[in-house]
Amino acid sequence: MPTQQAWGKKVTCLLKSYFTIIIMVSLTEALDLPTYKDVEAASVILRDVANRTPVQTSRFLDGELGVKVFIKCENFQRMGAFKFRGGFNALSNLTPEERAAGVLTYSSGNHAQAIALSAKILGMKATIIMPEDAPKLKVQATMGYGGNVLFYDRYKEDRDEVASALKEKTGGVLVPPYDHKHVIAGQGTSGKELFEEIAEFGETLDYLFVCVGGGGLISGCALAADHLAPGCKVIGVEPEAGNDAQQSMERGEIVHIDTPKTIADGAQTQHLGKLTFGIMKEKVHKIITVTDEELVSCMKFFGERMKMVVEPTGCLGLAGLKKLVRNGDIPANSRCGVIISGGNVDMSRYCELLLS
Amino acid sequence: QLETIRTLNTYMMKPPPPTAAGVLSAASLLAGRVVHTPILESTLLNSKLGGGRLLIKAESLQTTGSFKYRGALHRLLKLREEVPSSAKRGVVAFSSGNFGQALAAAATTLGIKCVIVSPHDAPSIKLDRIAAYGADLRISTAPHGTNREAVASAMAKQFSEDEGLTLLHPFDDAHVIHGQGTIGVEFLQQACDTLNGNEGSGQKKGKPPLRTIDSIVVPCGGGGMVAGINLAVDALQGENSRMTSVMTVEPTGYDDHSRSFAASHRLSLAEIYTADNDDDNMPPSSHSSVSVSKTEKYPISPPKSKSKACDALMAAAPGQITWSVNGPRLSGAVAVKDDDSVYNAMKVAFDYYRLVLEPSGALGLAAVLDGLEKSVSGNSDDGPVLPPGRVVGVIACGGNTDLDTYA
Repeated sequence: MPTQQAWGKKVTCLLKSYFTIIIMVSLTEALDLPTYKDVEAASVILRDVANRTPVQTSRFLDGELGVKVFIKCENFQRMGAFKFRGGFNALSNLTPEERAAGVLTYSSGNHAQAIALSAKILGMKATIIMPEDAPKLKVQATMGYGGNVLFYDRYKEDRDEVASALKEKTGGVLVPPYDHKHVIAGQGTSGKELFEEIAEFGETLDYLFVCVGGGGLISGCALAADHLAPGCKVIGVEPEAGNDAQQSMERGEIVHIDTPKTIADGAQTQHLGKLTFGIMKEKVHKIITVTDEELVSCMKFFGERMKMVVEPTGCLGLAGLKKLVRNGDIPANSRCGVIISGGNVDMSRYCELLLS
Repeated sequence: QLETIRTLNTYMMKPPPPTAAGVLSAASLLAGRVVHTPILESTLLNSKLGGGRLLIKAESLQTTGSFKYRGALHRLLKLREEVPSSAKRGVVAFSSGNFGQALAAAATTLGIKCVIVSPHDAPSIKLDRIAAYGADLRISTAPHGTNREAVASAMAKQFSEDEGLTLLHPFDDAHVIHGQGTIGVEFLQQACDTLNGNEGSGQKKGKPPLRTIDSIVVPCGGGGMVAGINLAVDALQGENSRMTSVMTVEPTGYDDHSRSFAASHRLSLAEIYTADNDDDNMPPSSHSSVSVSKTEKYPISPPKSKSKACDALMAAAPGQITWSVNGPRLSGAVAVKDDDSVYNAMKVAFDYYRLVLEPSGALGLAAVLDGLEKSVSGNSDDGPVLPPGRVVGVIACGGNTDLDTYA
């Protein structure tokens, strides 16, 4: 047997195993999941910058459902949605060099405004990649906060390619809308505040209902719930047409779907993030779905009874609670938290939905 | 027996006037019983308006959807404390609006019997709510040609006498005013924190004085809320060292406070305006920033754009007690030019603050957007609506509007 060839084979084998181990280690290391400590750090950064939004209750709602409901109103957050928390926390954690290079992101929704406003406050440059046909109001709001908007044709161009090309050119940092340690930690401060606020009255939560898009809000809140009220069941709510998170939880792996058709435009994501799913599968009790009609009904309730504007996606939490109460799944007198994610809806669309 | 004498005294003697101390006491009593409503601010709108800061006290988020709950609850708590036998017999009031709902809810919370008299043609949604909150709702029917409000009011008085119920007034009452004043206490304290950061709570020697709200703009019907807020400013800043000025805003054609302020004495709508007539030769309503002439001769013709939308602010005159507080303290009193300003403000509230406001609730915001600040700070018409460095507070006082109508 030629000794060199035998040695050659042995070395190749060794090298292959070596590389496999390296790849496996990097995959695990890549899942650097945020912990409650990151949520605590985020709350320090956000203090005096983010709004400590009110927790509202409704005697009418409590009477109707037979439970005690605590509603965290992130529609009153800066730029009208909880996304400000994650955006500001993420940008605050950049190094001076990264800040100087500026931030990039892609979103036509609340994350775009969150990044634009956060960048303005921190004196940073922000470029937001938006589809040409993004709603005019959202484009205007983003520009109003000083963001540079770069349009792309969503039918001809690939968003990721546009982002990469821009990153190459400017050296800017890409901050994604949910699958990011500091974004998740920032979103989790909303849940942390809710638990803290009601603890002042000697209350805690048995359940916490949170809307699910990419999973940023629910994973952050689950970190808070796990630490502050381990007995609390965190329940995610998705639109019926876009139940990728529900499927992912059932299958134990991230499921991809096509962009769902639903009025909940903040929950039209095609798949969960690796980090968000990583937390959700351990700490979220279950995911349920609701119909668009149920969302409109909640929107009407919020407007009529609580005098608040809540966007359709923001109604997912309450709609989920109502559904489970109807099904008899929630014991009477349970303490139920609901997070309203945002109130950014065009008035004509709001009225159109209410009158339908 | 002592109770009877005390009750008789209450009827016969003039009740004590509202005071700054009364407002502070009310704040303690109401703490934890009313919603500590948030201050809302919009970075976008602030910069669009010129760089100053506009702070919105969101009283539309108060229990029963308007600030009236504070005055109603405080009044009942004081009744229970001061004249328990009366509280046991119950209360009656005339209202078809927010006071009716507020009183009904407060009375149910305290287990006090409550009768509300409303005119038969009040919006059914409001009547339903009054009943839903637990009040004994009684409808009055005004015979053709009579004033429906006067008839309902007389009916309430009759029930009070017949059934030994205490007749409550929605604004011309010291304890109601004290309750409304807690809005001012909260607003000033919250603004102090917002404007001064962590140092807000304690003044340090040698440091510049704490920043506060420059001007609070208050929608005004009978003047109860603004009287309470005026006393709150006295309480927190000292009657002779006030830093925050207070202004009222009224709907077009219901500007009795604006005219009273200009004339330096209390005028009712009946004294100001002749009976309604649709004369096309009437001049258009003056811009909100133009002050009423001090030497205006009354009565005059009502404006063409008399408000139809601001149903919660159509009181016939400033209250006597409220005017005794407001007359000497107001720094300004204006009316918005028309209902369109109000509708625009409702949309701004929706877009920038995510608040559902009823027309009367958006009145303060409407005045600011129309350029109230420009006239106050003496800027030319080309200046910004909200100059940099200026802090204006607005009370968004109610959100009880029918959603279908809103849409």
